[in-house]
Amino acid sequence: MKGLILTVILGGTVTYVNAIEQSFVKPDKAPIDIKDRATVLRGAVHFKAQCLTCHSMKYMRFDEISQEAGIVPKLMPVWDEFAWGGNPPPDLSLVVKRRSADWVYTFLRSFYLDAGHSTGFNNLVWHNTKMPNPFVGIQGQQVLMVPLSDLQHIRGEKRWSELLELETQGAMTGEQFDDYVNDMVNYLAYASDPSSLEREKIGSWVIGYMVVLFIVLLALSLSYWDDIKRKHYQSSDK
Amino acid sequence: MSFNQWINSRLPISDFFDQHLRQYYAPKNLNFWYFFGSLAILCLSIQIISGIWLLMYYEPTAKTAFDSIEFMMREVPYGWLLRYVHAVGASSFFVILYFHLYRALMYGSYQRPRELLWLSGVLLLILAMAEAYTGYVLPWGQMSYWAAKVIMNIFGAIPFIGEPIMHLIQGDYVVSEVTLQRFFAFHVVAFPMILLAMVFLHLVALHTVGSNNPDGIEIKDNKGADGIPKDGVPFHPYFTIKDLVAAAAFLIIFFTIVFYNPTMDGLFLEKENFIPANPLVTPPEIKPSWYLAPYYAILRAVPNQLLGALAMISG
Ligand code: HEC
Repeated sequence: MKGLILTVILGGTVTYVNAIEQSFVKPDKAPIDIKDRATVLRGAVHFKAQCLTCHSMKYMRFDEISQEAGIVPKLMPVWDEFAWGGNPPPDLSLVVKRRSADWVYTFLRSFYLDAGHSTGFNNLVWHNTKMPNPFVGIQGQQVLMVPLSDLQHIRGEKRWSELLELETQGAMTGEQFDDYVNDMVNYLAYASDPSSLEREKIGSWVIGYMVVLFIVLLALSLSYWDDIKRKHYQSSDK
Repeated sequence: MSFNQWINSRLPISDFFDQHLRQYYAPKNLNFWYFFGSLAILCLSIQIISGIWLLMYYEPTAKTAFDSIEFMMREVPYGWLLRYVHAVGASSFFVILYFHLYRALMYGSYQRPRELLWLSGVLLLILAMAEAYTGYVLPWGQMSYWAAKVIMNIFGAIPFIGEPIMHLIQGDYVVSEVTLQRFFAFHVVAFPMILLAMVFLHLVALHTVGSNNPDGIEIKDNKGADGIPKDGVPFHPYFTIKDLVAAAAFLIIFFTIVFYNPTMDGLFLEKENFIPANPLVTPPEIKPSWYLAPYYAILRAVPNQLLGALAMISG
């Protein structure tokens, strides 16, 4: 019904409607901390090694961390809109702002083997994603413990770790891999809004100043209004 | 002749100041609800000042609009601050305006003799919405584009003249770069000028009839021997200082949002608007900004486009 109304409102001008990717699982909380420069930088280095071949970071042109990790404009891929059958790897400079860190953190760890899908792997957060699983070597291969057809019914009830099982171990242990992905998400979170570091630093000063100003003005105001109150009571006494 | 006299015999600045602040009497029982008028002026000033700076970096073309804002957010010193101030400012403006409106309804400030004060206020609210809507389109993200489209279709639903009007505003048969540039002109020049003129008229009306107050007493009906309302207090310094206290309190909240949660988790800057506009992909859900949401809900509740639009306007 909602869709119908929307179509009516849009006057049938929509030519192509995006299949809404809906996650099958509850997202994990990403333990991000972008103030921790070391993890952000590690994440940037991992990103350069594993993701920059497909994904650009086009708004990160001059910041110090991307430079240091070697994420520079001339290495960034440019896809036209028809590449990858119309789903080219998107730019990731704003991905955390539009999806959330938790979404990316869960997405990256929930690839599983699916011979029926074109890339050989499917994903619990984004079903039928065109992104190939980049982590076969380090995470290993995960398999689904329930039949694919059951996913519809249990949508949103479980976490990915309750549905997937590691079939072959990769080069990293589970913990190492979680840290690895978390570093990456940390970098992506930083990249989505680099101002946040500076913002929170200046913020406390600005707000502190406003609080002082508020107190001074309040004291001043009360002393002005004292006269009025006094006069008011004098006149009503009479 | 002193400098002051020289000026004031040619341009009566002091007289004006005296007349409208020092000898303008406001009821002494004005309470919390009466802060929102001056706060609205503060918000408008914040929007104009931050807007001027944004204008220096923003490029109004379909190709560059989105990028120019991200450029500002990352590479212009304090560009992020101005952008967030402008975005949070827009939402705060509506919070303040809705409080101001609520006050007027609660204390009956729309009644005689304040009918025109009320009417100019309603026009100001509509203008503010038009200003916010055109501004919302400028970043040219997904939500900008699709919200523009939905609203344009409301105009298109008017019988007979709807389509020509829609095409006139859009400047094209569909929402396109031409629309973006029209909205840019409206947002930056046309609407702010009309808005400021309306604010002026609103204040002229206010200073003619005077403030209402919680008790609904007309202070002008009870004047002392000196011709001064007995229950009135000179606006300056008593209410200027009171309003300054309110302004500082407001700014504490305002800056806390700007510095610590400028998108308000997607309420002030929607997540979907961090993807550049794409006419081929409809977002999963098209939502207007929160401050327009009630009107949009009325529209959506009525399946017929025209009737829905009528219900929305009358609401
Ligand atoms: C072989 C190319 C390739 C590599 C390497 C790759 N991706 Fe992707 N990625 C894609 C494609 C293609 C999509 C779009 C999927 C779709 O449209 O179904 C995508 C989508 C994504 C998304 C979702 C973006 C959005 O806006 O919804 C994220 C997040 C992401 N990739 C992160 C990564 C990270 C982090 C890495 C590095 C570990 C990486 N990708 C490596 C091809 C790749």
